[in-house]
Amino acid sequence: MGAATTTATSSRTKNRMTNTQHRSAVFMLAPATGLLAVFIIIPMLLTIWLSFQNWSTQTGFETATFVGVQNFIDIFASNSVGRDFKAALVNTALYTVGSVAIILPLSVLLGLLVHQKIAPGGVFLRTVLFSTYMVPMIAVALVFSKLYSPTEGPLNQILGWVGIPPQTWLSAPQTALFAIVILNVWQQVGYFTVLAVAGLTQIPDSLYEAAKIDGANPIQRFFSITLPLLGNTLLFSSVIAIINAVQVFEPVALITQGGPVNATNVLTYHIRRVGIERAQGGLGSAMAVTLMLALVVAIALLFAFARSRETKSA
Amino acid sequence: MTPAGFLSRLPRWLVLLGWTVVVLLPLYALVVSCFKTTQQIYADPLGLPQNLSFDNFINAWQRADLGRNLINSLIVTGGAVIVTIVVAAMAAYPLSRYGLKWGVWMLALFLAGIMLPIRLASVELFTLMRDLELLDSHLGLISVYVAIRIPFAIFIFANFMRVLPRELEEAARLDGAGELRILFSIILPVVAPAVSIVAIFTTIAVWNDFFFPLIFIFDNNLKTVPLAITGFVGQFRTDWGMVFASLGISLAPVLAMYLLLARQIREGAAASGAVK
Repeated sequence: MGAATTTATSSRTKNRMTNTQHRSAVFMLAPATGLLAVFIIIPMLLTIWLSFQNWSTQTGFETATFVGVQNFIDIFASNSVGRDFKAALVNTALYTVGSVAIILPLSVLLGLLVHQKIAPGGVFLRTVLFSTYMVPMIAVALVFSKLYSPTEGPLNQILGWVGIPPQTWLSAPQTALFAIVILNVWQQVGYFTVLAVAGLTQIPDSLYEAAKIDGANPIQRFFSITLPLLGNTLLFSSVIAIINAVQVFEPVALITQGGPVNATNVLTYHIRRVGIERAQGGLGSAMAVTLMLALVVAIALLFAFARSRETKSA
Repeated sequence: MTPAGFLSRLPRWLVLLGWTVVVLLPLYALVVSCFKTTQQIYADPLGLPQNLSFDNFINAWQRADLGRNLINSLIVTGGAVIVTIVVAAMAAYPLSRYGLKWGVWMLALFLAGIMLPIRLASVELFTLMRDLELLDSHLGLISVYVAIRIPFAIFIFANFMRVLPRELEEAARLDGAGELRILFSIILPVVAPAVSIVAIFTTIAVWNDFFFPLIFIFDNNLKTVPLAITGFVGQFRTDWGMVFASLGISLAPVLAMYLLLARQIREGAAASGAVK
């Protein structure tokens, strides 16, 4: 209703103001649009353009020569270039799926527990939960690299107290990527818990009361009320979590360098290696474009899934 | 509380306690490592330090000259925060207050910018910065950070500005005040909470960032704190005590800000997810 009155007032004043307002609007939007265009949009468009070019990063963009889809053929070939890329793509996908599959349920669980106020000290708990957001990724990576020390490392000692045998963590190809997922989860869950709590506070208590009267148990109430009404929050959270996860770089660059035996070689790291160290800009761009396409498809599927759920419940 | 009520809450309570321990353990490990030698960190990573020695901090300050890096980080973070606030407020004001036909579309385009994975274009961004002669410059770093933070900042500002009463600027306009003056002396003070949300989240993101300094900064005199610290790792024999003390120095101001403003910061994070 408030919005409607504002629009009515504004359309009356608009006649008088249109010209000056249009001019000042263009002037005021120029800096933000310009910065976004030069430092975000143009590099992204360049990436798409260069994925169809043969281009050495050491020379300027003007030295690029058109090669059609040759770069894409090369990165999916069965030689070492193709093998390394496909492995990096799989690693990135595993890392992303692993991170999102742990972060989202955990954030909803912790969000519910914090929201239900089952224990005193809720403010303290929320403060602790979100504190990891302040810790720079380099600190998370370096601290965990010490906690993960093999055999007698601190985490293995703690696992030993509860009877779990020592894990190889970062030192074996089978576990290294998962160890990186864990440190990412540690840092990110707090943020997504705050989002979950914000979503939960939007759900009216009366719905739960009504369901209780109808005899729904807590689990039924969760699946018939909480989860559907948390839909928008979960959609937003998963999109942000996916976009964060595909851009993972710090722990790989700092503590594993892609190893052991390329088990943690993720795409942001691999693209930097190919694009800057080997100066194969065209190949690197084709890799980036492939990941962007995968990202667009994944996010489109998420939105489609969310919409189909919405129409079903409506 | 009845015993039965307590028992039914116990599992949930244990989950929360468990996660609290999980969160605090690495933070504890970081803090105690600041006061240990490399040998002690390897021998007993979780034990309390044998004595409260500040050698690591002194080394970070004197041998590694972390003070210079702190000044660089302050310049870059301060610059990015101020420019982000000014530029994003200028964009959000017409989009949320003028009732423009294309305003909604423009706002949606800016919001879509939150989803752009710019790190995937880092090779192109590097080359572009080289062509613009913005490598090895704080100005270049600030420009990139501002561009990255603009969509989020516009979103926050627009949300706060949209609900203000129209009379606010109408009177000033009749008095002949220019649009920029109306924005900065009338609107912006009213949306002070939005300014602080944008300032806080830009500070955290920029102060902690390692990725873009790694790509753009090569001159030791220009390195920010995170980039400088990673340089301590792997040079000959790593002085882990000094590395962790430097991480502690880097974390302290952000953590202090968080402890002072924890509620506003959590609410700000929640506002960032309030996409309707």
